[in-house]
Amino acid sequence: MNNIYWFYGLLFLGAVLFQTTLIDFVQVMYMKPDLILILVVIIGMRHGAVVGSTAGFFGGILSDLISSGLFGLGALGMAVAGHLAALIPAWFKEGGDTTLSKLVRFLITFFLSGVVHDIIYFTIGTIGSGAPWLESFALIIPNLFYSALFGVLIYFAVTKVIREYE
Amino acid sequence: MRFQSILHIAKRPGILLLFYIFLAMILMNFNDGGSLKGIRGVILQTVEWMDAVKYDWRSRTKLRQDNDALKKEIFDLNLTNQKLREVVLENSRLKRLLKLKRESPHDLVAARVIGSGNERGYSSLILDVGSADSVAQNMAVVNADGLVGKIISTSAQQSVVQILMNYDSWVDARLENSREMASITYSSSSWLDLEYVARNIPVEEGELVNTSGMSDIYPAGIKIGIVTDIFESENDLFKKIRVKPSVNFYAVEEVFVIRSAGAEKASGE
Repeated sequence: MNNIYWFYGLLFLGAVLFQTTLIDFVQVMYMKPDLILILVVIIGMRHGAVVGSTAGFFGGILSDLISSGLFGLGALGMAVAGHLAALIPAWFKEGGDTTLSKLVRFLITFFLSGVVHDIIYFTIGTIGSGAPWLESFALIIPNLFYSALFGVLIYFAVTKVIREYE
Repeated sequence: MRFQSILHIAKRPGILLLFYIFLAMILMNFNDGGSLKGIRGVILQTVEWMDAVKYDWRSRTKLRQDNDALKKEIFDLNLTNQKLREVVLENSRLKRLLKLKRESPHDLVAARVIGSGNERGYSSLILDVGSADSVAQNMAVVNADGLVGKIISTSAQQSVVQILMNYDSWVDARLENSREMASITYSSSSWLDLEYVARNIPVEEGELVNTSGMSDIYPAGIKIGIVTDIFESENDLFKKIRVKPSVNFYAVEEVFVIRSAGAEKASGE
């Protein structure tokens, strides 16, 4: 079981490295996938709210360290997203365990958690700055969709590796 | 016991989330702290360094691609240059031919050399004109440099030229200065032989040899070549004279066929 946490740790490190250096290679217009958010949602879905919010908090701190935004804001948003990622799939328990239902469950979970994360991030981040909140928020929706596409690939890859551990 | 109860509370997701939210808010208050700036600075420097490596790698890739593209462009330009040079040379040749056509009193048909027969001693050229262009056997073939030969066979679209450097070739010629008549034949090597010039006829090296006009095939005054060597012997009635042909038969590309009414009837000289 401990091996899995090392594995997640390495994934976070890889995600941070990729996010800071090679992300432009997969950039489409202004859209870049948020790899740390993807990992937090996957961990939340797999291991529940406690692990999800913890992964979110520390993943958010990593994210804050590499950004120039308000320190702690990413940690707050990610912790909430990790927590939600554990709760949302429970609404779809009746959906079965087919690949399609897993895919739909992941997409809905990722999108809802991502929206909440972004609402927190942009609301607190733009307080007092005079930045147009609505316009900023309109821009993040396509970005979330783009991240979700990447998330699907990472979700199935990570799930496969985790299954081998378990 | 107290630690275990804290652990128990921490395992309740809602309380843990609230704890993280509280912690995150505290962290937000340390946003302007010097140590945080230091950590961020180090991280940003690392990112900057990695970015520089990435930029360098991208530049090298782009440089390699540009290099390949430029190499291809140079190749294409060389090819175009070569073609243009060919066009300039062709233009120059065609200008000379046009001048010949304008100044010639004969009825000329322009033709392009499309092939050659290089059997030793029986060289020939193939032209892209034939009986459909009113070209017939025994018509003389010339270019801007002089006499090339005569037509020996035709089809509708093509014809074969027997050039002067052919064992079967025989042309009535005239020395330009002495006006003496003689015959041009070919025996071997890269020169023509001027035959039947009596020993008492004065001939000079460099003298021009033209067609005499004494046959139905070759009109008078077409340049054949220049005298290069003269050999005399006490035992011979005639001089042995070598003539350098004015036409480079191995580089002929465009020619004119002189259309003459009696060509078909003419017997080979």
